[in-house]
Amino acid sequence: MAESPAVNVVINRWLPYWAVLQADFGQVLCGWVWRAWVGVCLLATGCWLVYRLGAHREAGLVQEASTFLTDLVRWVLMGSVGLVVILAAGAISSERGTLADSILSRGISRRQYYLGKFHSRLGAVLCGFFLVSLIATILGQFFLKEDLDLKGCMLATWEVGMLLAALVSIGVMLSSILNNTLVGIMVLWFALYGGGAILSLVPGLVPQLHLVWNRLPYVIKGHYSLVALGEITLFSLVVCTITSLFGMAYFSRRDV
Amino acid sequence: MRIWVGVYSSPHFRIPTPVMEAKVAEKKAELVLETNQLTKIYQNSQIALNDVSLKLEPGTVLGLLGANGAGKTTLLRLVIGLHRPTAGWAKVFGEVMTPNSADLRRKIGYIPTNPQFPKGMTPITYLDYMARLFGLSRDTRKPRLASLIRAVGLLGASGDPIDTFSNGMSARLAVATSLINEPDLLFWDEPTHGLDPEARRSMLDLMKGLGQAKTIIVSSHNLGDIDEVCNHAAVLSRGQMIYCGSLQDLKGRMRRNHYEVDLEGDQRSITKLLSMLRGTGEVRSVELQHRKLTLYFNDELNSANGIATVMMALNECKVTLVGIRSVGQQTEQAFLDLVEKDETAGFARIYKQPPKMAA
Repeated sequence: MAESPAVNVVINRWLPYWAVLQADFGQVLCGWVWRAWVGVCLLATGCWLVYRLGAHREAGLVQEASTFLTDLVRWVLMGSVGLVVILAAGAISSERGTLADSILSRGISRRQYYLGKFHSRLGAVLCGFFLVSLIATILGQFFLKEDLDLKGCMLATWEVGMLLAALVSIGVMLSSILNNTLVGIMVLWFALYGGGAILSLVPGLVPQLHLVWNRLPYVIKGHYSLVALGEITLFSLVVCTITSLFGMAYFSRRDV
Repeated sequence: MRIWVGVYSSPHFRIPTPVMEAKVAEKKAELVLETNQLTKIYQNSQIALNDVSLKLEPGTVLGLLGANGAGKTTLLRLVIGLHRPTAGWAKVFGEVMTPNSADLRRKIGYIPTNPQFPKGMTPITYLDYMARLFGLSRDTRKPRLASLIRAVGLLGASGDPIDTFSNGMSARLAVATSLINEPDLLFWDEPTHGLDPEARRSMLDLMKGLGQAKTIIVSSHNLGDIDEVCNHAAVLSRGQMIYCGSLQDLKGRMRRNHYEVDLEGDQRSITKLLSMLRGTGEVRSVELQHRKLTLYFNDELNSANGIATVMMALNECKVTLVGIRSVGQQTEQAFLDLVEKDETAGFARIYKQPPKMAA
């Protein structure tokens, strides 16, 4: 029998990162947390629109699509941020134990695993938010007073998306540090409200959340400031970079 | 049923050829695994592993023995980089293992205790995921995973969700996972745990086959499995390695002073034999029960004199010998003796040199 020729196995060094990202992204999208989050947002959008439409049609009140969209984003995000916190804070700690063993004992480094998890959770949250925003924008444009500016809508969605990105990055970092998902959720919750309250005492240092909300209707109408949007984006990038570097460094040095 | 034998006879897996064997011989000097004073203390509250030094040459099949909590799993997790040592180091193929040593782990196949699988995956998607974690391209991983699924007998269940698998099927999938990267070194943590006799037999046959071409460390509670598969053994007791060497040497250390002798003859002759044996210096104690003598000799390591005395006494009393056998499973007895000696050593353990021999 002729011997089979020796085959040189080509190793793709970034394939493990993509594998974790894709597998986790798929699992998040199939999980109840993400589906509940998107479902709640869509339900709230529908109910809120019906209410505004009723007030518009029955009582003759003028309902601006920009106000509808701002209120919707504000209340839906405030109400469902808990599910985003669960998604972020459970990224790594929920797999700790034998499931993480069977992944981290293969040819993947801790850094790649961390980045794969972070990017999949970030992608899932932003995809969900952008999807809901898109549907809400279209519905508002059709059923309410058409005062929306397309570019303004995109920038407003980007602005809130950046805040969500910062939240997810902090959550994934906590998830890599803490062993328990519930503790991670609790700490992130405290960080979200406690940290926000503390940061509001130092005006000018970081973008203030209430100012972001207040100017959101104007951004949606097209009266936006690129400098303010740039500040938000920069703030989010800085938070994401610092938390990712810290999370990766810590996770690379700890036991799983 | 010996379906798993196909794993190492599959065309997609390297069968040792004369050329490869030569290469192995050339690299004989290179250690596959080396640990030096490996110590793990969890949260400053629990000493899981204490000063473990080990050297493993290619082709060794090492059985890790120890009671629950002895440190077997901790040792395996340290050498694969899942845990960071508190002190000491572990080198695999000459390089220090760290949590980020992805290149080193590409040469290792690992089965954890009670392997868990992600929900909603089938054997095909799971093995594909694992192969991608090793960075294997599509052209390499697809034929391999197909061969492995066939070899471990999961072809009929290749599209079923893993959540519905039995223990035996999960174990087969874990085996396939540990071989997907064609590793040179295998760490299997209690691979026969929870398996039925048939699946266990298949697993042991597979280990024997793989042991001819690869270096394997098997951790197991079942000493019979170790006895059957391994050529070397390391014994851990309360986090410390109390023995590391060949299995034959371990058995050589066991006490061989306990024997059972089946007899045939009249009761008077047997009673005479009993009193004669009690009067000799070789026999520590002797008991008679339904024409079966239970003997304990004084010399724990060499029972030849004791057996010779028994034979002479049998001849003198005209009692027929039906059978004679040593009592106790050999490896199990040796293991228990080692642990017992370690337990009774007390403070003397402080001065005892830990075993640092090449397995």
